[in-house]
Amino acid sequence: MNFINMLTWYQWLILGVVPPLILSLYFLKLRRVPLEVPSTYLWTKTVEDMHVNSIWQRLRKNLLLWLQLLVVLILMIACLRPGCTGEELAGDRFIFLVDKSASMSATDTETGVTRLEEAKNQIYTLIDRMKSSDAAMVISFSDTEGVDQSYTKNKATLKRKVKSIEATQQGSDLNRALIAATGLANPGRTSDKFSNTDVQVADALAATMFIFSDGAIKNVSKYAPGELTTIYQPVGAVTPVSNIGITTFSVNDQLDTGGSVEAFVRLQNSGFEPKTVGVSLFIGDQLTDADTVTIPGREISEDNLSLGANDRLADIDQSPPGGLSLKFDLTSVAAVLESAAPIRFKIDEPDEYLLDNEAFCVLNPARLTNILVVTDYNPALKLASSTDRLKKIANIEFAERKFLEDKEYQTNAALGVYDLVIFDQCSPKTMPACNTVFFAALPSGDDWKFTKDLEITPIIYTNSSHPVMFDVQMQSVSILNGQLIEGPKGNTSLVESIDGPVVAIGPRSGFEDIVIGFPMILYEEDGDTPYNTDWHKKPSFPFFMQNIIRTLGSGARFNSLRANRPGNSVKIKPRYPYEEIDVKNPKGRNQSLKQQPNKSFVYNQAEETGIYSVSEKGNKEVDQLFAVNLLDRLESDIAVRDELKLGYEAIKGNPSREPARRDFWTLLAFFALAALTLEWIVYNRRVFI
Amino acid sequence: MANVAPSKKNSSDEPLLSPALLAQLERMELVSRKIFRGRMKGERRSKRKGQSVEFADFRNYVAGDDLRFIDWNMYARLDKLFLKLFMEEEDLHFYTLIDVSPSMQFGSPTKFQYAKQLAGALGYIGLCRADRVKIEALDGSRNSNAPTLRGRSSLWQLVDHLERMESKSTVSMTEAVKAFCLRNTGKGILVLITDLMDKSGYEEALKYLVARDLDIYLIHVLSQEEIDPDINGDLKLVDCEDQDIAEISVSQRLIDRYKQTLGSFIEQARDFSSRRGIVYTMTSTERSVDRLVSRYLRQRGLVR
Repeated sequence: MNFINMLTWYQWLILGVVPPLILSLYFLKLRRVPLEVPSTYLWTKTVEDMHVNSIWQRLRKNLLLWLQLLVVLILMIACLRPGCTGEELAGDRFIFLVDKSASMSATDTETGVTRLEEAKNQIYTLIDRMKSSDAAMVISFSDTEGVDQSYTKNKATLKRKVKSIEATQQGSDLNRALIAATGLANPGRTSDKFSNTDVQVADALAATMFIFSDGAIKNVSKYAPGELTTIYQPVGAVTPVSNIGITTFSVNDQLDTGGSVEAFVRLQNSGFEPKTVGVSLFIGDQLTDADTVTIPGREISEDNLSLGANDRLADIDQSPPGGLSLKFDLTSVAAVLESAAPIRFKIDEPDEYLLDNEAFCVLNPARLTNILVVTDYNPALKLASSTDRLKKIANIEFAERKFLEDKEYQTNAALGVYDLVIFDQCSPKTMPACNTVFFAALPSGDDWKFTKDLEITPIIYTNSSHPVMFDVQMQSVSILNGQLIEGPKGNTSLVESIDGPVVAIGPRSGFEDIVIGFPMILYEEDGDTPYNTDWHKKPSFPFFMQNIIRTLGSGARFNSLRANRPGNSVKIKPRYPYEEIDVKNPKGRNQSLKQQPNKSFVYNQAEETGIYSVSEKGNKEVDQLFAVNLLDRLESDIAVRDELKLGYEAIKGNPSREPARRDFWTLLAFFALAALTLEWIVYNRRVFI
Repeated sequence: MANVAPSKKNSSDEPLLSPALLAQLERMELVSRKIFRGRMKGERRSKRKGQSVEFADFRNYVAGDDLRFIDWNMYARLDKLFLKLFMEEEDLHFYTLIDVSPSMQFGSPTKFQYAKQLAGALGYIGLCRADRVKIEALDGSRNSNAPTLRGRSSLWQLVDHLERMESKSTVSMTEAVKAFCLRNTGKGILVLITDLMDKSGYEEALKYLVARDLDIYLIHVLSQEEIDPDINGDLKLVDCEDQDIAEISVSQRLIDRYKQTLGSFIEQARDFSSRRGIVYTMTSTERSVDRLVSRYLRQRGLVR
């Protein structure tokens, strides 16, 4: 039993005056009016009779007084707010960081509610324990963060905002939430790193931050708490429950497997015991394959074998969850596929965390990428484009430079018929509505510039992290003549010579342009066409060609391979240049999208996992499908971490899962009300003498 | 807090006995359940045989009897001497005792005023029938100045005596009755008018009277304030006689309880009286004297 003082000293003083006041009033009341009567004989007899009748007469004589004093006493005790557990929150300002990622919807809590609900209940308790002068704010985070409620002292508002937090199907990233929280707690820091004009809404003061999470969050690289005291409140089962989740589900690229189509699945077991589950694979609504598999549990190091179940929390960081990979051959199915088909992989047995028991993918019939190569003569390009691999995915058309003047080209370029146009030593008057590659030429406009002529220059750097340069090694390539490139804002250098970039990629209103600062072939005045570089002789050139066609050509085939996560925006490029499209989400809700200037569409409402279908507005025929999957190894590993690594700091979870403080003041208030009612009855009946 | 204190109304300006009441009373007479021996010739039949016109009996002549009362017709018929006896008519002792304790000064009209009216009325009946009427105050004095009155012409004396009577005695009822019994030895009708509000009890007093072999009528006078008190709030009740204090906070329950106590008090008095041959009549000062006399006391057999 403990007490929280709810009143200030002068309020106590006022309350303390009340009982003496009642007593004095009572004495005043006792001054009876004298009245002369013939005889007190009968009255005395009557009063004596009543005295005899009541054992509690002495008490009843002053029953009203006692009741009044009782009411005041109860109210005083109620003002002390007695409770049996918990303690007052120390500090003035609190930040409640609530994880609303997918794993928070697991139901492994003691009461069987979701982790998010459990976290909310814990926050309600903390809000109740706040002093009336304390302020708190609420930030919820998943992939993104949002300040649900800025600093306020209004507990009802705080509770309302906490209540309004809804679970998402997204991963969790604490970085931005922490930046917002630390920004508000530390002077001179911004809570919005993307804005230079961040206005601090509250004075930056020391605060206590409570992170309510299961700990399944991405690593936080930088974290400087400053004035912020961080308390990590793990939410979820103390003993990790066994959860089987799908962490990978994809259909491979036919190009890599020589024509066979395979679906690849990886299952993860976050528990310690191996678990056997049934799995099913559906194509459309039809069950195509099913199996029963056993997924091994977490590996426990020998040192920890003797520890009890509760101690295993500490092992989780050391032992990765057990996993199992599965492959399904879909070649025969893909061969007869006429339109895009959704593939669904499902774990049959339900567990505490249902969101990762299903994964989706789309098997699209191949659409050939439309590629136009504008060149007068370039055998290297022709050769590199004629490989079997590229022929399977792309329809490559060659045209001479004068084709640029042709009306057909201009119409197709404006409508976005081409996915990629390669300009070899030429440049169009207006840029086409697609991605482009320029050999020894600049895109029209002033964004790109050649800054310096080069002669026989060695290549010293290849940006191999960019998908276009994947597997492309340029160090051994010799270049005779070339030019240094300066690209528009936001460009990325792909290949650099000793003097500067010679190949760069830059954005152009939703499209991307690659400019290569040297020609493959020199067109000499005498008609001779010598090679300017030996790149075409190196294996890196066909790789480069394949990469740009796969990356910039963005064939529909790759749509199915692209991983869309819930909450991310999805870029849609329909097969035909529609003005408007409808996107239907897994729940059947339609949303119309208008074409962007770059002829593509951006869908921002992919909040749920499942299959989304795209069709022309008003037309029911499905143009394409895309899948949105969580497929997050961290989220599927629903074991609760008892430690949160924030930067270099490891924050231990608050081990005591504090039960809600049991307040008695409501009960006392009820008693006071009852006493008051009793007093009222007594006063009205006047049963006392 | 609206307290309606019982008013001590001095009603000396009102006539004690109105002419209308006197006219009504003239037709009545006091009735005794017992036949007593009077002192003087009156209008009441006596146990003794006497010289009235009413025939009573015959008896054998013995030597020395008055020859005037021999029934000569009998002698002619039976040739024996018989004496003819007649009823004797005598007067009756009629005592009225009035409680003169201060408690009688309550009510509207006051109980004392009421008692005097009642005593006057009954006394007048007695005067009209040539009874010996004596009205005494229960003040415990050894020498009573109360006149013994006879004949209608003594009415003014009776009224004068009543009007001079004051209620300020603090002597207990027992003491006062004892003193009365010592002073008066005559037998007859006794009417005791009191409120019985004596803390030492009324039983002892009544026992003294019963021992005197009187035909006793107890008229218990209560004011309306005592029967149905109209009081409110937290009160300190002060006894007018001994200044005793009772603190009460008036509630309906208390009032109910009081009425219950009063009811049992009356019942006790009635029971005590009837066990000892005393005729008990409870009356309120609200009830008019002529109504009490003509209806209630007639029912009880005191007057006819």
